[in-house]
Amino acid sequence: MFDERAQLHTLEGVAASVILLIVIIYAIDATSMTPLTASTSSVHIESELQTLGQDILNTLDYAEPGYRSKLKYDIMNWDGQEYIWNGTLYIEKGNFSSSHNLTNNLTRLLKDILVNQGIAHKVEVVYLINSNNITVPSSSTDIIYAGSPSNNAVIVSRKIVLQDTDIVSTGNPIEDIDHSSNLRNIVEIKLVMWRM
Amino acid sequence: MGIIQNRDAQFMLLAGFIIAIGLVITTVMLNSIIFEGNMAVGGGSELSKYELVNMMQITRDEIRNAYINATLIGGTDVTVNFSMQMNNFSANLPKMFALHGGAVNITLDIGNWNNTRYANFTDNGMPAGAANWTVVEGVNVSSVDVFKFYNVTKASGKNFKIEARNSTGSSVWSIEFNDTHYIVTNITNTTNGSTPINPLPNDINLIDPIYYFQSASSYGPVSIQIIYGNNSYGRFKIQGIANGKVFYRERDYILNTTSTFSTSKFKINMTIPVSVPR
Amino acid sequence: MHIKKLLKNEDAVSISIGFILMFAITTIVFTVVIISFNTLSQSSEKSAMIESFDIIGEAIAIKIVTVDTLINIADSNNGSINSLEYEFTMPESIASKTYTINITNSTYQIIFESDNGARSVTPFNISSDLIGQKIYSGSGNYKLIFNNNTKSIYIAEQ
Repeated sequence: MFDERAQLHTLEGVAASVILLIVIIYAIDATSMTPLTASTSSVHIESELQTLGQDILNTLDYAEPGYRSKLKYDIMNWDGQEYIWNGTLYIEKGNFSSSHNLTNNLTRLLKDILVNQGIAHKVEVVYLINSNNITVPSSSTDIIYAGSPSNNAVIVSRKIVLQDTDIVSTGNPIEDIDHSSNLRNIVEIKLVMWRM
Repeated sequence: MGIIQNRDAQFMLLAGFIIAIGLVITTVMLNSIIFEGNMAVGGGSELSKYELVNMMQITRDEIRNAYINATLIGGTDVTVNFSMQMNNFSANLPKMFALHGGAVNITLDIGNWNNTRYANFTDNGMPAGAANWTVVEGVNVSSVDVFKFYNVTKASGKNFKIEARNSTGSSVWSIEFNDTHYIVTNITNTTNGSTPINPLPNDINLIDPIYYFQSASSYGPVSIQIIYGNNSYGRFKIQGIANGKVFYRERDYILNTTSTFSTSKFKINMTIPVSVPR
Repeated sequence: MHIKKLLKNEDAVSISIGFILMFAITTIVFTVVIISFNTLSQSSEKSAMIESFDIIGEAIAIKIVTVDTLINIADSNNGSINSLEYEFTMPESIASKTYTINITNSTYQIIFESDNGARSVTPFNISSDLIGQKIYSGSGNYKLIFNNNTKSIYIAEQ
């Protein structure tokens, strides 16, 4: 068992293991001790989008005493149709030849802020409906439709209250849930944003 | 020479290199896994304070709207109509908040209204509020069509003053009530009468020429101030054009609303006074 | 002097010394690998702990600041907060080690410390009063409570 042959063979083995050791030590030293970076960067993007969206809705919903807010005017004047961005305007879905488009305070802000930064967005509303004599929230109805959001999408919302004295335009699905008083409906506007 | 030209063990060395590269890749992945394994994960989402502020704002606006509607319809059931609208609102609002996992409850205390306890003329209507405050700025004096103080009661021995100041802050018109008479002062600092009042008239309509308010119209936009507002209480209504837009400033009562908002990790119960109608 | 003869010359080669040398070198190399791996994984553990402390500290600071903001919002509307409770949770242990959280009221800092020397400080800024407290991990859930009588925020166990 013990003979004097294969000494260079053994030295080769030792040299190979030393090379391996140097490589391992260099590899561990070279990798920087950071967490998996992909997830943190999308957390930052998400909170940035959330702040942006909440600011958009808060600004639109400001009203002085005795006046209605711009967001309320937009919801009152919505005709119940869905709109899609076609590159320059929000045109009616399914009716591409029509020149009827959505231009109001909300679309102006969205065009200036979100479209310019390449942030895809969707606007939905949820309101109360009378179903079987009880009042329940409706399912989400799209005002502006832009496809399915990605995994990192952010939703911000704002609630407004409509009175009977706030006349809504025809085709608007938000109905009066309370005929005995001046309350018309409570509407929640949701803005969904995601980076493409 | 033999050692340098020896071509044996090439596969062994090659195998050594391949294993080394594989180990590097494994080590890098292992390092990340070890790091992530030691990281603590925090779950759950933060409370959105905007939702809470939104709830406060729509509750306050709804109380004001319900009051305006009820008093506009008038009749004998004013508080009943008001309570009906507020009850409908309180019953339906939690349904919208439940979509986000929040429980909301709103109760209203209209004791001040039922017992006709009017608000003080301070900035927030409470006795401890700022006694000297600006009601509205940039007013176009000739456009003011309503400038009334109703059901005014003044604490005896104290004064109550309403003033109009120009953009530099100096007074161009003021009316001051004390226990026995009122004094109107315009910019030339002449008093336009020290008419005895006994008692203080319940309704004071300051558009009336006897108060000389319109004389301030030649001095540009003015700001209307109330001074010593904590010494008296009642209702007021001012309407006109300021900064090119119609403005409304009114107060009849202070109604207190108590709202609770709770999610799985957060609970709050707060009482906010709401000045009605605006 | 033939090189070949020199290479193949095995005079005075001691087998036992060769064996001892081989064994000793192997042991040393093996020990160095194990120790270096351990040290590297320890320092990785410590930096992971500091990173976790920062994240948890930020979350607690956000909650404290949110409570303070709500108190100020209620004050600016001339209202009052009758009661306010906000739960916060912390993991039982980080990298299998316990840690302590010290929330100070004079310097407004959240200081995390652990036995292996990992330490992190998260500052925050509030206008209300806060009663400082030291919390040990793994001893339960805590919540931030607003005391309407003393107008201060304090931390209580759940």
